[in-house]
Amino acid sequence: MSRTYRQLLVLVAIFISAWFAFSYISQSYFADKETKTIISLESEEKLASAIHSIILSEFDTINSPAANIVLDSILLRLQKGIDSARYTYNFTIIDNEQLNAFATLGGRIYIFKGLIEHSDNAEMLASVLAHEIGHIEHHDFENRLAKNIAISTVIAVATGGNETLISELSKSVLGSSYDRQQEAHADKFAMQLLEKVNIDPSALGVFFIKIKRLDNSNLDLEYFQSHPNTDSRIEKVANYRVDDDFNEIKFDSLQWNALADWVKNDVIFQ
Amino acid sequence: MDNEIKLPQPNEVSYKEKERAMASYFMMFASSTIGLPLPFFNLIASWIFYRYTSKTSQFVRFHSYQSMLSQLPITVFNTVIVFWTFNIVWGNFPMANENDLAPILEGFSSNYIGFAIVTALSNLIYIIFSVIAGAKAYKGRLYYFPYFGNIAFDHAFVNFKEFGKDEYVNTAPKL
Repeated sequence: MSRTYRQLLVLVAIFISAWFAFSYISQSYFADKETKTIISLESEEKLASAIHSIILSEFDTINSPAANIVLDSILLRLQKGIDSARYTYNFTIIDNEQLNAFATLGGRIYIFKGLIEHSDNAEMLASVLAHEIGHIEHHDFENRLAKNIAISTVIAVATGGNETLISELSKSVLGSSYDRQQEAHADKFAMQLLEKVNIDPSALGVFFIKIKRLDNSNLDLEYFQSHPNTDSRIEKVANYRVDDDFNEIKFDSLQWNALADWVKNDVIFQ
Repeated sequence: MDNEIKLPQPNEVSYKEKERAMASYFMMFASSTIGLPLPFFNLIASWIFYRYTSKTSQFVRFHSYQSMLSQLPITVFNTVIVFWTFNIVWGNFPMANENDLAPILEGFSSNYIGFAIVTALSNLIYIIFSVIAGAKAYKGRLYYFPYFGNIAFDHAFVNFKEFGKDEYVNTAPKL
């Protein structure tokens, strides 16, 4: 009988280890796909500059040293939590009331004035920036670009190179949103990054709740439209548990309040 | 102990017994095709087959019991994967937007994929073993699966009272 039990143990062990092994293999296979870089850093920078000039032609930007001090301090702190340091993150403030922020290539993040206006504190803004950094670190924009280029090429071939159509499609890269899985991964990245740099990750959840409330009051909220499924995202943030030794270090509220006042009164940007 | 047990040899096993023993393995191909959406269907079929044939001979009893036992884990794996898949697909249905397959794709986690691969491999190994065992049974041979072979052997030969032995109620007078 002991031989029978031994054989049973071996079979169970084989089953469990095979399950773990295949789970691990599939996990690392998908993780590799997610973080795979499709273009070199140099080409990425060139492409980022080209996209930057398109954005500059579409939107007015704001260059305010006072705002830069506050936003720089937030980005610098977030940057400290990133291990790979492939990019030096930088931001551009867009003079627009939309409650939105987006990231393109080469570590470039675009923050709409409306987002600063609606952020209660520096931690809330930091949580949105951490989410955008997540998209950059996961190369989401590159993948979206690659997908759109592939579609554009197919359409170009099919339509015999209709230029207007191709140019419209290229613009749609900036307009289209990420899929739910990319958003979920960026949220997870943001929460881990925030925890690492001693910012309470719940700030992201508070932000989602806020935009949900604002959406109910029928405001034109771009961020909400391009980032669907807010309820499940709030739930995921709520379920995130920080380590026991987590120690929150808040940003200088005086600086933030000054910035918020300036934004509200439209002083800083005039 | 094994030496004391008289095991049926190929020349002692009748053609009918060989056929029945082989059928105990091959019938699961037919039953699983009939009950495709329900993975436990072939287990029920196997149990019914065992119930009606196990008393005919020890040779058939061994093979049908081994076939039924070895189907147990496979059935459990298949049932788990079927319900897991249904849960992922129907759990995220209806979708917010008809093109939004992301929640369903998210549901197919690495644990799910790992389990699905193990299930597929287990089924493949099980089919290979069954075909070999079926072919051997048809030749009147015993074929032991790992683990299940031992249990089936004990069940059919070691812990087995000969057919009709309980019916020997007439004994010589006690002195």
